[in-house]
Amino acid sequence: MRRARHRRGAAAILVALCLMSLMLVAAFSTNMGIAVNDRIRMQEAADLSTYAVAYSEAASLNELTLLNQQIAKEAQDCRDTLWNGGAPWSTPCNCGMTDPQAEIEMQLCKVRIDLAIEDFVRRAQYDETVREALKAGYATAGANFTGTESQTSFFHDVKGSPTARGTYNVIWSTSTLGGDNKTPSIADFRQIAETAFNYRFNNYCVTSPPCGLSEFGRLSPTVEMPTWFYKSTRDPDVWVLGRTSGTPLKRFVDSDFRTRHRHHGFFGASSTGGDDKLYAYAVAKPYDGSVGPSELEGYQANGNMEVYGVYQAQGIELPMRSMYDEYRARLAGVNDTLVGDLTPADLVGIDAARENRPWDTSRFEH
Amino acid sequence: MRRRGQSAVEAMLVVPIIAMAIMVMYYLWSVAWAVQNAHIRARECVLHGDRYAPADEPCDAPFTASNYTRANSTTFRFAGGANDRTLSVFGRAETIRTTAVITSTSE
Repeated sequence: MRRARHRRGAAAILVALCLMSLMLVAAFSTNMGIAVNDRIRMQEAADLSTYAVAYSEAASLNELTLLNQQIAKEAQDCRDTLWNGGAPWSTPCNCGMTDPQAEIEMQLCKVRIDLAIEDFVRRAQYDETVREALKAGYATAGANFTGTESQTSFFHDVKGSPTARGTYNVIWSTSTLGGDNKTPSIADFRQIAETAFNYRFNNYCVTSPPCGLSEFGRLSPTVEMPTWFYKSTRDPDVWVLGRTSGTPLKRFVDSDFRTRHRHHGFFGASSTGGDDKLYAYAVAKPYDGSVGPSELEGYQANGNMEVYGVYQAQGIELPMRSMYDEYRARLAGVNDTLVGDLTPADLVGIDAARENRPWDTSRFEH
Repeated sequence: MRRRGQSAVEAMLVVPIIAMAIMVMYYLWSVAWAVQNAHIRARECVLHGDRYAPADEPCDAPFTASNYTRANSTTFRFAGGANDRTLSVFGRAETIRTTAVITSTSE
């Protein structure tokens, strides 16, 4: 009797223990499921937002290509006008080294080319290209994982990063306003400074008869102007590294005892006793286009194809052929072959040091 | 004599609870699996369009038959949706739907 009374309630205790254990297992399992799911969503937010930045940059590069083509088109039109519009230019009694009418055309050419150059520089500057692209990245992060827009970084605050202001510059000049201006840009653009222009004209500088023709089709002195832009490389330096991080708020059990709930956390996530934030990195870049004639050299790059002492418009066609507005965007890898002052792996290393955590870049290859 | 059948009663109490817990965990696992599948499919959909998407999952994405398409404008919005179904528990399966978005502007 005494023994039976002693065992009364044993089943209730057993059920309570089992229930507690099962609930804990279910909570931990659910927690881990949420953690894994959030990690996947975070990686997607990083991938898609980084892609959005690269896509926006690719669109800007396509527009820059068209503006660069416009500069070349203006130069081509100028040569057409100087060579075919009135040549040999013929101003009665002109015995100077140039022809006044042709010189007026030359000045108009300078203004038209300068305006096209200014359009290019305005569009190439950082605020019009990279800054707008970063906005697209934040918008895409938030659209895919609410809250991550404020937890996403494209490393525009790291000196030397391709997305930082001042890492790349366009150095430009114009014929009328002067030169060696330097503007922060999406990439390093250099400018062709010596595209040559000249024309033929009739010289009337003889004494007898007055203002008689002395020389038919005399060649004017060559005028060199700054014109279109080029890159020294085919854009492997234009890329973006994105990182999304954070600790998702949804959880049943916060077991990150070691960090005193500083970042909250998931079961097992703080086995190293450290930070249990989730991190996701992604790399993307524009590709498949060319703003300027990076592959041409010498007179081809300058468009200075000289025929019988006259620079012909057709010479400009060669550089124009290497300006193709076919930029797209693609995802790349942290260890992809991308150049610049820093590589994506360098940036991840800087980020890891900033966040005070070790990071193995070989773990992320997509 | 009073103790006869006590273990059977205990088992009758515990076994359904354990069975229910296992079913719940199985279902939660199934939901998590389906959610992850749907997310990954949506991501592939918005990046690669109909290239890898089922015929009934149209995608508005910057991807042609074999390549990413030209970046046409700095103002853009591409979205791709994807579905996946959980395993059936007690004759019931849920459909999980997710959407991935690539956009230039906040909404």
